[in-house]
Amino acid sequence: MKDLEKIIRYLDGEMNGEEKQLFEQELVGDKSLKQSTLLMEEIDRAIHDDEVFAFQAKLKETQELYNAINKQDYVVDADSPKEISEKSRINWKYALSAAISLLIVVSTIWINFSQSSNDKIFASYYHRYEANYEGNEVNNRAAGVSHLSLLINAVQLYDQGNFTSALKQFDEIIKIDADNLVAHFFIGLVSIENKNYDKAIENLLYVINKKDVAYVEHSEWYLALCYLKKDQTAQALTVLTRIANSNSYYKSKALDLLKKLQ
Amino acid sequence: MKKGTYTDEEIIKGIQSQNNDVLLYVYRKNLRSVQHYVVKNSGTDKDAEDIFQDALMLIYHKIREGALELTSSFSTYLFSIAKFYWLKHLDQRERRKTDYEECDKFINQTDGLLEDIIKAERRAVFIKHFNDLTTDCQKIIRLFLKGLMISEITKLMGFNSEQHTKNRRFRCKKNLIEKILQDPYFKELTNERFGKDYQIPRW
Repeated sequence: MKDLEKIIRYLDGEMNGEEKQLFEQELVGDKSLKQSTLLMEEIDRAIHDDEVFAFQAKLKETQELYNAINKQDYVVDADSPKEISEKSRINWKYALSAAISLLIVVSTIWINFSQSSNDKIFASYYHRYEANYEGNEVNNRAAGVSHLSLLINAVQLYDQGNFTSALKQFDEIIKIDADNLVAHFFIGLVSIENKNYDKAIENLLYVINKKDVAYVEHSEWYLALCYLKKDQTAQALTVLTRIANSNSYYKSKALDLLKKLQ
Repeated sequence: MKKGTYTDEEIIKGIQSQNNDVLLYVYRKNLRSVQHYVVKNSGTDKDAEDIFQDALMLIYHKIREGALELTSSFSTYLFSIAKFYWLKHLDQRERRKTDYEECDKFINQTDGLLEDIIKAERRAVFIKHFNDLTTDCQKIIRLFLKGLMISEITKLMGFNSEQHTKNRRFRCKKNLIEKILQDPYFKELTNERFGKDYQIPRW
């Protein structure tokens, strides 16, 4: 046990010159003491770095936020990043032929489409995006240094159906960070709930134009529904066709909707 | 920094500075492929989240040590590390042995990765047991490590004497090191890193 006491005093810089020199001489001749000292040093390094603890906490928060906004199941279609691109290339041929057939279908649909049915279609296909935020209260640690906590709270409010407060917070985030795609996406969704379809379209288009991988699929689907609600049928059909030709999570829903519209 | 997409260089800088937007982008762009791989290989989404976080911690340490040299895209690198982590986890869970050298050749950009992972896993064991100590113990140890004088620490902790502070530090550190040395996973990691000849400290 004496060894531990000595090692601690050595590493904490509490030995005087002579003591330190003696200890270092001991280290050279004593393999076990050297290994113990190195281990204690390694432990000290690991536990005294505030930035590492902060980074770990930040990763946890990011995971919470990610889960809050991506709870809906995706169809994952790849083993690795490399395979994703190869599969996408192969799918292009099929997508192209599907696109041509769909274009023919779409033209027919458009001619026969009845404006009055759009409301009913919207009502049966629109389901509120569920963020399903289940995390704990946001830790105050991150508050004040970033808008991440604000964002988590806003998503949570949306999830609880408190759209007025959620919108207020998302608007706050946009004031701080005009380009925040998570906020734009949710403003689009809140605006649908508030029946402000123009604002919804504006924000969803913003996300789509930024080609954000996480939200494009959802944004396109809700954009198509907004166009339907506004009786902008041609635009809705264009977006639905695009979804039907992709590997989007909403592909089957889009195909189904296109059939119904016909 | 722009928000739609980031270059690998921006991602590395963003991780180093712990930028929230970059971290969220990294999750959104990469977690799904890791989840798919883990779930396909006897794991769960939660397992994937854990190893994804471990992989990012490892990258963070490498960036800070100035030892990160990307020979492929950041996404491929992150995926490779996560994959390694998962194989290692399966080795531990199923008492099997993966041929990491074969993996290295296959991935072709993970030189010394196994050593990095062992180092990171050891760090994680240290932190886990440190977090299990009482709040007072954690505080005393960290105040000493920050280089504060014993007299200052005694005052901050509200202790009666400097000797008491020293005794508490000793007991806390002893407790910590005993927990670490008794951890079976730590023993496994030590054998992997130093071989069976390594002598466990004698205190």
